Amino acid sequence: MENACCIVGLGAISSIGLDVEENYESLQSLQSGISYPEFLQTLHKTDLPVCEIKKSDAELAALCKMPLGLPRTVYLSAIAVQQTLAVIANHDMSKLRIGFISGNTIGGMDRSEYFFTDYLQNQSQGQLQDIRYHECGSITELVAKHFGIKHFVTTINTACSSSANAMIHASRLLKNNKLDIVIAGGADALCRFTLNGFNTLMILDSEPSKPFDENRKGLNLGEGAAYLMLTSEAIRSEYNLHKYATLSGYANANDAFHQTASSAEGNGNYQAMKEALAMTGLTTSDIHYINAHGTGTGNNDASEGIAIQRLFGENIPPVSSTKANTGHTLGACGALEAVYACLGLRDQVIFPNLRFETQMKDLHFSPDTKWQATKNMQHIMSNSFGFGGNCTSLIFSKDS
Amino acid sequence: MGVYIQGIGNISAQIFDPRSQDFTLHAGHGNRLICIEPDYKDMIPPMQLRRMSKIVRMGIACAKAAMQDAGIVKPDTISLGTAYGCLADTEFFLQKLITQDESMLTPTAFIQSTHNTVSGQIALLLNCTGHNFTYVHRGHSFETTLQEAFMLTQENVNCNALIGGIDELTNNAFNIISRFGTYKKEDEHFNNEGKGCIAGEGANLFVVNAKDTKSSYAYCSDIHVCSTENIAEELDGFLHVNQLQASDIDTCLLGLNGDERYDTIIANNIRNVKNARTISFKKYCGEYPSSGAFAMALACKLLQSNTTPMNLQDLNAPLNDEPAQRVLIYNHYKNQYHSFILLNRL
Repeated sequence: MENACCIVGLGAISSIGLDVEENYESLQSLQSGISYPEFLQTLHKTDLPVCEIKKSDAELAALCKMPLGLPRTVYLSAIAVQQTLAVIANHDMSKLRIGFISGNTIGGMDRSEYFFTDYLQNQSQGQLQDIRYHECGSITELVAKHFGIKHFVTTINTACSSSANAMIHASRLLKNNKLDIVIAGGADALCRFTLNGFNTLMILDSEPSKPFDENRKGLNLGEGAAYLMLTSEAIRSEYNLHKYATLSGYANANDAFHQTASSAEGNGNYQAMKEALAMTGLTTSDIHYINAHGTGTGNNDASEGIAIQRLFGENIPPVSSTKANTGHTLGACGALEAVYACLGLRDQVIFPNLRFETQMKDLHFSPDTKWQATKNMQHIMSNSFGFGGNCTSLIFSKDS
Repeated sequence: MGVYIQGIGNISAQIFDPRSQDFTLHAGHGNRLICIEPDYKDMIPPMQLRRMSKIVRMGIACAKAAMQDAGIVKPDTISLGTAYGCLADTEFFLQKLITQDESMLTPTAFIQSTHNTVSGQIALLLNCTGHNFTYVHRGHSFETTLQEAFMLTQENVNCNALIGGIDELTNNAFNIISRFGTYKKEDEHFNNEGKGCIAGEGANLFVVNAKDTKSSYAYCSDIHVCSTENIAEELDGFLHVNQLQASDIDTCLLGLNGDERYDTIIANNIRNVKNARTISFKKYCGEYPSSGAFAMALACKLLQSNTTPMNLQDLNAPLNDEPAQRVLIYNHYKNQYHSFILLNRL
């Protein structure tokens, strides 16, 4: 763990809060961001609840001082990056190599939907401004330019594990001394493309989702962005930056089972958790809390739960899914939950899993349902699994 | 420490056998180069093939070819770079969403529209449970997979990393990008002066590792993606770090794309590398964000060949058919993400 990266800055925006502390307070007061869409222009305004940030694009643009007419994901990303960068705002960082690694899954699709509506009528129609930032990379590029980050910029799209993988890549670049500071995380706004896409898969719950409940019916899509500032211990101490936690272990594995479904045994999930643990040199009993991927779909929660049982045996630490609060924020969820893990370590709390009622028959454990103050919590595991069999597990540690 | 290139799978606008001495490459006519796809029937079962979009079948075929070429049955890690992702399936689902007014939609195209479909499908087909990343960042998506391979093979010296760049250009994408004034006119070609480039697409996958073997194509000793506007200065720095003089480079593969707005910039930045022959690789693959992977395949082919065909070389630089010893790939995409890749003969 000597090489582990320090987390020195946090930023988050989701349907339960416009910044990190608002998110924390909503978790504490058992709030969820679930509602019917108001800003998303969809026909599903009364049948598919989502976790929408109740701000218009214009309001979001104002929050990050960016021009109007850009994809919504840009604004979410910029707002969270702005918060993350605040800790170094008063430092002269001109000598440092700063990188930006962001995950997102839909790029500028919300604007592309407008463009295509006109384009399909006539191929010379459609405002080019609406398709200009279609690529996932465009989102990252716009935000990097806005904040003047240029030493290294990249975008990862491994579906729902994108931002967790952004942190893995950040850590690898820091360990190899390619960069001094990395802002890593991800962003995704709601759009009709993903809402309808997930709806065709019949994995959206028409009610608020119930992760790890026997009667769970599916997930609620959400939107948001979250970033963590990672650096080496040497830079952290040189600039006297506060350390939230270290990213002490990580692993990415592939379930190699199905394009969208997880294997019944949770092979990829198991391998990711096991390898992340192996990197830390810890044992399962050292993990004090698991923030699960826990989408609320039949398949994910069974597969993830079984993988947790395989790895942890009879001694399963508290497990919960904060997606019951935030919805599934896709490209943002890994980083959003990483921010929560840092807050959990900071304040020694375990977050509750909302709306759990009935024990799952497939599992011998149930999720934690109460806000729990704890002591001596040293290590939190955070899981993110995605389409394409992509499974990532991260371990965050507090210095003893 | 760099990586050795052990296997190549290539689908491009060329019929391209990287191990052969045949260098018949065609610059083509018109403003768009389309991939010449192989007969997939020996590589992909027909039932699966029917459901695959072009980018997925190209990716899988190239993955298999690269592994066969490298003599391995399964890579340890998979990392692909694609700026556009699975455009055909994305467009299909988007079109249905709009024309059917968000109703009666089916999941197949949505499932396959995710950018990591190709890397996920390769993992599924090979039961490859290792590291699996997809970089989707504009003109250096492929270059990031190569940078990452340097680190992965250093972490684990036995790692066989499958990397590559892949982008498909659909008719809609071609039409829309044309409206931005990116491409030349329909009846023009690469050598027409003026604005605009030739559109392209392609899939170039590689097996790389940390071991020099008899069948290795070349040694990739360094890769650099520029972060400043001073590209020429960064090139000097890149050569210096690699303990090279400009005169040590005998062959440059340049990302000239026929658009005068950009080609003058490249020419200016490379001005200190005087003795090298130059090859404008985009004449053969067209312009697309992950075209750097095509350049690396061509560089590997040159580095195992006993000649450097004169007909590939640009006329305004030194011309000779000596075998290449040290190749510099200098690419950019729309004057962003200028990158250098250094490849050496073994």
